[in-house]
Formats: sequence, structure tokens, C-alpha cells
Amino acid sequence: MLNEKQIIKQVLKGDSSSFGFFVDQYQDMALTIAFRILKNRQEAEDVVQNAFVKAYYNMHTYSSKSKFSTWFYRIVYNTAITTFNKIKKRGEADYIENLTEDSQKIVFESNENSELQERKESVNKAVERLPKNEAIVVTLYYLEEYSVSEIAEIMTLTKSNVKIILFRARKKLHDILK
Amino acid sequence: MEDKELKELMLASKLKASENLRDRIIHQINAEKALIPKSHKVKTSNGSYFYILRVMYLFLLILAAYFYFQTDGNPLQSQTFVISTLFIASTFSLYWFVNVYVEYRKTKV
Repeated sequence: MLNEKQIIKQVLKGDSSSFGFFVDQYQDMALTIAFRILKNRQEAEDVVQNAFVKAYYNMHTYSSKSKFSTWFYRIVYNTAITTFNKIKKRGEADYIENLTEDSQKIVFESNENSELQERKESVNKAVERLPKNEAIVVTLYYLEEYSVSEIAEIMTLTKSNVKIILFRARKKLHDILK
Repeated sequence: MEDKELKELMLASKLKASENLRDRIIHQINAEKALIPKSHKVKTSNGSYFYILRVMYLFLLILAAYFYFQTDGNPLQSQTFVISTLFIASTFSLYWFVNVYVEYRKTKV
């Protein structure tokens, strides 16, 4: 089984089929990040697609100092922010107004009790109600178990900024879920 | 609510990409790759490296011929010849090395 570094080498040699490994590995989380910013599944999928294409053509700029996922999620984050700003600039008022309408549907496991399902649903709604940057920080922190410095690298923020955002987001989540 | 509990509850909020997203991505990459004209691909400059060496040897040959016909004794014993040869060789080598390094930087960036 090849590791990430070996696959990167193959991709750099022009083997695009090897890139499928990264798509399988990171597409779900990339989609989650893009969705947190755009609040629209279709737009989020387009952003993920563009981010993967960008990553493929800029693979030579990746240095192994950081994790591949950190480098890639940074591309996703920046692409999503750029797309969001473009949409905002175009003045798609309907899109901005209806941002929260396209909420994600959670598929629960059939054996889960209804109380647990309700709690998951309320956490999901609570995360959706958070501002974009807070939603991204809690997503990366809790779902990907990223450190504060890695989140700072992805979002181009300082560590102290990330800590403040994380603190605020946690507080809001606890308040909402009380 | 504990962080651990929050983490477990948040796992459900992770989105699942649609099944065709992977195919869309790979298809776009392959389509864009096919659109890049072959002539636009970065040319390696191996030719220019050899060109530098060819010019250097030509200079050395001219120098050697000049000293052979102008010097009465063995030209290898002439200090001027040795210094000139070393000067030409080191100058061209440095120039060649700079070229290789610049090309390496270009392909790496």
C-alpha cells in the first residue's frame, strides 16, 4: 500500500488516476467545509470540484512541512470564500436570504434511539446557526481533531484568533444546546 | 456538555459527497490535461547545456592550437597556457552551473 508521499510523487509524474486516492480520502470533509461557508450543497460541490482541480495542478507547490490535508483544506477554504464573495458581489439576494434553507439532511442509523437522533439534529442545527468562521473552526477541531495551529494555517489566522473563535463557538453551542 | 459528547454528536453533521463527484473531478482533470497543447509543455534545456560545453571545448581547442604553433617548447609547460585554460574552463563551468540551477528552480516552482 502506497503512502501519501509516494502517491504525490506519482501524481507529479502525471498519473491522474492516482489522484483518485485523495478525492476518496478528503471529498467528504472538503464538502463539509465548503457547505459551512456557502450553505448550499450544489455550490459546495462545485467548490470542492474546483479545489481538487486546483490541488492537482498545483501539487508541485505542496511542501511536506505540513499535512497534505491541511494544505488541501486551505485551498477548499479559500475557494469557498472566493465563491461566496463572488455570489455576494453579483448581488444574488435570494441566494443570501435563503442560505439557511438548504440545510443538510442527516441520515441516522436505524438502531439509534429518537433522543440521540434529536440531539444530533439539534447539534447540526446549532452548528448551522453559527457564523461561518466559527462553524469552520468547530468542524475542523471536533471532526478532524485538528490542532489550533493547523486550523490557523488553513484559515490564515493567528493561533490566538482561532482560540478566541473556538471559545466563542463552544459557548454558543453550549448555550443553544442547553 | 462535554467536548467528547459534542464531538460524537457532531459526527452526524459531516456531509457525504454525492457518488458522481469523484468522477466529475477526475473527468475535469483529464479534460483540462487534454486541452493543454503539447507545445506549451516546458522544454528541458539539455540542448543549451551541451551548447555551453561545445563552445568551451571550441575555445580550448583554439587556445591549444594557438599555443602549439606560437610556443617553441611544450605548451603544457607554459604558465600562460595553463592559466588561460583554467580560466576558460572555470568560467564556462560556472556559467553552465548557473544555467542548470536556474532551470532546476524553474521546474521546482
